[in-house]
Amino acid sequence: MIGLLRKDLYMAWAYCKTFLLILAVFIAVGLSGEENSFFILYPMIIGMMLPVSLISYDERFMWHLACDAMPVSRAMVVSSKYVLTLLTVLLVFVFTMLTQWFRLSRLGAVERLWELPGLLLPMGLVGPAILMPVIFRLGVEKGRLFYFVLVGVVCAAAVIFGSGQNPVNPAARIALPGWVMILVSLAIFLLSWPLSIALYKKREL
Amino acid sequence: MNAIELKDLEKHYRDFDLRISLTLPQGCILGLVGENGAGKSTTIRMLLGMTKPDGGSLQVLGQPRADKEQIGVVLDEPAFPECLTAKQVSKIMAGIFRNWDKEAFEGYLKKLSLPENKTFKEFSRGMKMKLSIAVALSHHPKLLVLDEPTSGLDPVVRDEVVELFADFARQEDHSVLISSHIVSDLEKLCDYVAFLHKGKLLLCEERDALREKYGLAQLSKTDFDALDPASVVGARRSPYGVSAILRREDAPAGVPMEPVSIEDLFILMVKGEAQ
Repeated sequence: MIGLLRKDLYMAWAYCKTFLLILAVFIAVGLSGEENSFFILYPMIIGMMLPVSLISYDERFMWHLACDAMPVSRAMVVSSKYVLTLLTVLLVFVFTMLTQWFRLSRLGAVERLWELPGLLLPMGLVGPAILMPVIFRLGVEKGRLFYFVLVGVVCAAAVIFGSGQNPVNPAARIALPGWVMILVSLAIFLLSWPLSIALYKKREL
Repeated sequence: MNAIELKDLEKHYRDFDLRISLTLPQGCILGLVGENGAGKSTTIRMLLGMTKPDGGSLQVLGQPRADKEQIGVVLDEPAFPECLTAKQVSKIMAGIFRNWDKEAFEGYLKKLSLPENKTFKEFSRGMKMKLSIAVALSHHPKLLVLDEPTSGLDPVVRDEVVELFADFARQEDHSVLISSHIVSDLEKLCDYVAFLHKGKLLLCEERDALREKYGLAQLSKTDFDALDPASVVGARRSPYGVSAILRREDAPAGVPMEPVSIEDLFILMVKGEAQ
């Protein structure tokens, strides 16, 4: 597992520097005094895409085949990506919270900081939790296609059945306390993990 | 103990069926010869647990499942992310193999003239293959499984690589399974040779026994037609006569025969006119 994570870190540094730059810019912009939820939430959207991008590179370089030929179980391959997702989400979460704490304390509204975890963490966890089982079963290309279709269906359903609610961020409109949202998204993420392992074990590479 | 035992191992695809039984005694090198698509890679993948067999059984180093800590694998395509350097590969492998030997790896890099800090992207195909081989050797495996390791390499690099495998096999508990369609490499290296053609094993024998058992005869058409068909393994007719591989024990006395090369034997068995 350590070897796999080390490889992912080298690859993230080599291929995803742009991600890191965008992340830094958005976090910096999020520091400005103006209220703009896009700049606050976007780093998390980018962060959650990182592990999926790395899976895509793995497939391109046939690293998944190399893993099969080494003492690396498929469960370990899957788990390394889930651990990486957790680390990325936590890192982005901590940075976003710190910058927002700085911004809100200047505005004298630190109490509003506690609205963020219930939005940020579900956003970072639920997307990969839905996408990764599909990717581990079908591969990155088909998996992404499936995900886009799913997002389209969810947005369409929100427009059709949601009485004009904003489909872009339906989570923000769900009237559940933040901590419940976090627990639910964590549960989805933890259910997705063994599901991905089971699906990847069945896949013929 | 046998390093590898495959018994009626089967894999069925829509347009391809593979069935193979073979044994590699410990301390030996077995060359798996076959044309592209003969089933060599599928056999290797089943052996390594990368592909699930549809039937039969296997044992690798005495275990029903391959212990990959003890196996060095080189796949037909080097599979490292292009951004990595050899130095980074070593750090990654140290987190994957329990027995990873950094010093041994650095020794192979020097021996094979591979740079430590150049990225994989900047390597030629020969260098990529050499790096894969260095990785396969640097965790002290007992068995090397090599899928077309010399394919696409120039003759100088091929020779260098074949020498490395021969070095590895000098230890008596080290074994090598090498698949290739470059038969000349196997001729130099192998103790045993197995021919795989369209998913079927045509033969699996000791290399020297093959030379004792079979001979290549250049015959006139009349002499060839007079032969007992049971003595002919394969033949190719030309306007000047017939090249035939004969079983020495069944061939009539007095028929002049040259030692047969593995390449001739394979080609005539596969493409030649069977009797």
